[in-house]
Amino acid sequence: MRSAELVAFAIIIGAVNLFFHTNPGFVRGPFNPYLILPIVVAAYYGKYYGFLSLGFSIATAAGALPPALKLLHPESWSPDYWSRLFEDGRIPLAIAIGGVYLFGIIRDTYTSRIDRLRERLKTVSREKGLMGRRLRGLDAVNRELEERISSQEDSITALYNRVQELYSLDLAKILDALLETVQRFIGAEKASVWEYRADSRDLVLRASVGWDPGGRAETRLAVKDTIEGWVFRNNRMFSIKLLVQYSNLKGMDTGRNLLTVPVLGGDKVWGVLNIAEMPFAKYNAYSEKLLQMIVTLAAPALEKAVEYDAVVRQADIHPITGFPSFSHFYTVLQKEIQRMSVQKETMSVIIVELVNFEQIRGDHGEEKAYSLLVRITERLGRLAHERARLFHYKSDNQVAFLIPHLDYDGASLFCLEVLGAVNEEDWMIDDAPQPVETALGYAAFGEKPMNADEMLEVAENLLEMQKV
Amino acid sequence: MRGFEIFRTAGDHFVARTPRTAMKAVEAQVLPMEAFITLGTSVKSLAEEPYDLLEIERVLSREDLDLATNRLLVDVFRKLTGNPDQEIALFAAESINLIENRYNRAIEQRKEELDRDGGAHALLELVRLYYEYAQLNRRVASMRDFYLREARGWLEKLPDTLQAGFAAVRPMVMVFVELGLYDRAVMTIDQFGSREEQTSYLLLRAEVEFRRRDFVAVFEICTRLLEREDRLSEEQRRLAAYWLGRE
Repeated sequence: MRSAELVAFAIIIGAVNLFFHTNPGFVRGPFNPYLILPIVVAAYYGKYYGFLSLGFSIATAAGALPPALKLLHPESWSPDYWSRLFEDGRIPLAIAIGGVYLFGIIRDTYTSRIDRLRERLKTVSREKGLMGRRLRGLDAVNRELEERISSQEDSITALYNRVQELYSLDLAKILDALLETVQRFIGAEKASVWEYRADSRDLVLRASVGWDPGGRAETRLAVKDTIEGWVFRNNRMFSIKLLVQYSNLKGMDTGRNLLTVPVLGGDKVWGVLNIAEMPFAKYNAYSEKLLQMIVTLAAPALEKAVEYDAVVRQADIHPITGFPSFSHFYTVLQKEIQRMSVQKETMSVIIVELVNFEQIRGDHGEEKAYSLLVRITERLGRLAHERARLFHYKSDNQVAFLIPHLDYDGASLFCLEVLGAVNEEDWMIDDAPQPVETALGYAAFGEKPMNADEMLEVAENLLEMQKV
Repeated sequence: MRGFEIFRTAGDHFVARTPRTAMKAVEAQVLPMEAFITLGTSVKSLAEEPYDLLEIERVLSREDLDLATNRLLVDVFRKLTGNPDQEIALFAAESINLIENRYNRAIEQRKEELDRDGGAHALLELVRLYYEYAQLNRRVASMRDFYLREARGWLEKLPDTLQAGFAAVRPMVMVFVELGLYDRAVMTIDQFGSREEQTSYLLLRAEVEFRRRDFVAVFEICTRLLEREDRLSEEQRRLAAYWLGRE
């Protein structure tokens, strides 16, 4: 197609040349269309077509033009036509060959570069398309995984948080937290915790979850002839699939137990935890291990809470706040100092005084004033990550915190946090904000040996200094 | 060390709170890629306390949440309704309302569809929606039972010639299980259990027997399941093996 176009151009030039028959081949003069055309063609289509066009031009000037001249303009025709054409046209022809070659090379180089760029652009845009598709896919996967994690109830970090919540001295709170952990991680729908009472030699219900209020029938279980009792006596886990293998257990089954584990308080069995209902898919080896793990992790916290519970039960308890009295605090402090001396550990005593307690008591009555004191104390207990034991101190408006593993620096930092927490929060009585003024005193055991009196003296001195 | 500079220079640059904002900041060359990687790999569970209310709100804004996520959200919101901060408590109550309204809307749409076309698909969807609604209220026995009874009412209207896949059959079976109608649950499995999905139906049957507390039957089903071990997924194999004491 392109060749035909070049032939046509050559013929047109030949035809024009017939009008200028006195200058055949346009060899005389500065402008020779026969030779300009191949150069233009070379610049436009490349050197191959440039030389082809040159061939057609030569063929026209030397082949087709002479017979046409002989026919139409015989006076311009002579037998030395070709020798004159060659004589006059050889230099322009040589220049044209050079021009065609040069422009052709430039054009071919340029074109190949453009082709390479085009190829690269195609590759880049194809890769971009693929990348976009991959990105959309990864984005969807990322979103899905993100949502799977965020809707996960049994992640290891969640377990850590739950275990941290177990560290409280309030036994009832620990047992509730334990059951909630079991609910979340094992999927337990009904679960209960039973405490062994040595005096009555039976198991007493301490906490349960999943039953409608008033829906529970038993609150005491015999240690003999019950699965809970068997678990307690043998310090072994019970799993419902054991019923298929062991007939002695089958005799004890009342349809109450799916998984039952002994609950340790320190290194001795304190009671049992029973799961009465759970999803089938969750009943597997993983849940069994997880349940044992949760109970093991709860053991140290439970031991401390059980100890504290025993102290509280025997102690002189304040009728409104429920905190043990100063005399108990003093006894516990002495025991702890002895223990810390042997174990070479640190411990701090922090006394918090509600300075305007009397004014609050006068304005709102005793019950509301103590209720505010309890709320403040609970808030501070959370600050201490529930590690602190709480007692009343010498005056009604004073409470003492006994915090293990807290040295002098830690205690001073904790006191700063306490002041921050008390000042940040809006303390309300009857929906009205109540200004709260607190004073703090602290002392730490660990760096130098001190007895209980010396510790309390240090703390009281700091407390008095604040009030000045 | 490379990659940790972002923490050392904290305070000098924009701090992204979510992986999405971190990615946008990385695209705008405001933050290095490490910012996205750190946040992207530190996603925490919605149930983890202290609750991330912004993240909870973001997840809640999605309309197409599955049952597990909805259940988790409702549990979190129920806990938050007791928050001393009244704004948070109100947000929690409104959010529970929002989730329940989504279910109510979907149920109304299915009922309209049923009135219009009378198709079995709408009936199956109604059963599923009521079952899920009951699951959301599983800790409030009266509400759970109400929605389960509603689901059962629609189940009774299903034509005998109905063809349904496992995904539709499971809620039907579970409605009967939750209502303690174990024989009806087994009959439903027998009616719809297809040969192609026999493993899934066997496991569902085991679940029914487990809830019925017929553990010998569960043991037998697990024995049958392990006979076709090559067709079981790893999770299914482990579950069956656990029952037979092989795990």
